[in-house]
Amino acid sequence: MNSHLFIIVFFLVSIFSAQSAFASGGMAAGVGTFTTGVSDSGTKRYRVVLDETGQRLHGSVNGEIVEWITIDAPDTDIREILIRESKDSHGDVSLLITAGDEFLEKFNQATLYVKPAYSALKLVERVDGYWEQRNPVFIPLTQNNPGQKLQEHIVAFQLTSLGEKKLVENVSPFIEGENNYSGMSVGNISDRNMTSALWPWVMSGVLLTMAWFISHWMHALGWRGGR
Amino acid sequence: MALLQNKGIQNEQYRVGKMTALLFRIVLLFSVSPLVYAESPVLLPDTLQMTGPAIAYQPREYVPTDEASVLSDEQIMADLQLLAGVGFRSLVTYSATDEMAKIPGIARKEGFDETIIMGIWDPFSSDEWRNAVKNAPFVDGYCIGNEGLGIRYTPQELAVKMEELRRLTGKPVTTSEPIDSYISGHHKEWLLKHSDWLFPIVHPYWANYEDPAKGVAWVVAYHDLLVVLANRQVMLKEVGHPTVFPVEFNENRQTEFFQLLDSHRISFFFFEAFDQPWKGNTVEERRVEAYWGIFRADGTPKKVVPWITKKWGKL
Repeated sequence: MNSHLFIIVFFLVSIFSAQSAFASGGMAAGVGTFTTGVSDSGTKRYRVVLDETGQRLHGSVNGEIVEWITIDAPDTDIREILIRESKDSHGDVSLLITAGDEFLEKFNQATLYVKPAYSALKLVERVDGYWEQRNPVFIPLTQNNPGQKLQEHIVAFQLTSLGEKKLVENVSPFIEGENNYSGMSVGNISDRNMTSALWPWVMSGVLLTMAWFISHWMHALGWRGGR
Repeated sequence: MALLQNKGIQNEQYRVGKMTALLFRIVLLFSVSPLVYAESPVLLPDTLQMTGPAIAYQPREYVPTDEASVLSDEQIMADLQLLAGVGFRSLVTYSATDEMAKIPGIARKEGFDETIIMGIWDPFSSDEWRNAVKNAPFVDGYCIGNEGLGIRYTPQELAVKMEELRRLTGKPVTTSEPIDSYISGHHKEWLLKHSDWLFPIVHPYWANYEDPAKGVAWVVAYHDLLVVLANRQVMLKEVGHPTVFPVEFNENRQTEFFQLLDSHRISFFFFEAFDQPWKGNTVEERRVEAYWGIFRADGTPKKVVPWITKKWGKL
């Protein structure tokens, strides 16, 4: 096998298998650029393909926390977003919803449908530098028969932006103690777009260039792919 | 000879193997790609697409429950001129009794150039049936029944009537129930199957939402969930916010409610045109039914009207 070809193919395989979903906050292992449901450090990422019905884009997340999302973003051709779910040791949940810049420009509002296990939590989202609380809407999905204690339901939260959201037990530190949280990784502008998505590709280019030089160097040494 | 036979068997085995492989590929394709067999979304019929505002219209000063109450063409005309001046281009009615059945025709003359849905209150009324068919040229679609499924009529009875009206008029036909019926009700499958378009009723008031923002969030959450679950575009037949009674509900809040709702790009009919005092003459808890109008019973506008006029009005 041609040594150039061998090394370049080897690097290409390595690069593609190391690509992560491009939500910020760490790399996810797996094959393919968009890896769904992959976990590292308690974080799960979902690539959500959006369908269009009338004035709504909607996608089935079927994640551990989020079930569905509907989005009002008129006149956009983008049909996918990424959702990152992560939980801390206190049970608080952090959600990061990212999309392309064009999508963000067209974004009007969204509704997030969360699984009932998280219905006791409250959602806060950061809007223009301030945390705002969103009230839950409980929607039964089955008929409430007499004598039936629990009914299957889903919880909806209306969102006015993408980016980082938190599902928390106690909202007051976010609403009243704004400054206490300003240093945390909340609603960073770079998290709200796909700028971070470029990094894996930039690194890919660097690695390919390195592969090319190594290949030349080995060729100069007279190495012939093991023969 | 034996060699030829073996070759024939081998060819047969090759063909079977090839077919099996092909079938396997097809099964694999369908099992790994939900997009392959996902149904396309169902949109509203073309004739029901609206660009301007729409209103749920019951004439003022007319009491359907009072046999002595008379409805004239002039009265309908005056009402519709008022509504058209504000900017309404679509409407839904509730009945096709003799005078009510004239509304679509008069509305066309008064400038309602978009969607007109004719309501048929009693699916078994031969008068309403005859009037509905007669007025088909002015109508874009029919809504048979209103919050009566399993109460005033059975699903089987209504299905027969809906199919018959489709056949006679060639127009889309639906019915209306509260939106939770389409998501969790006993008849949800029936509603999704038999409705040419989904036309639910959505009132945050009855879900105990006083605050306009919370009420709108509730409406949007239900609307969007129905879109997701049914994969169909949804048109809301009634969305409203009462005024005057109880005290937490007032004209400012009604205005705020409709302004917020309008920002969400939902297809809906304002509920309703005029206050209907006769609806409040029942039990105490239902007194609120009298005050959902964007106009008072005497035809004077409430605070939301200038905003609607500014946005869509022709005057």
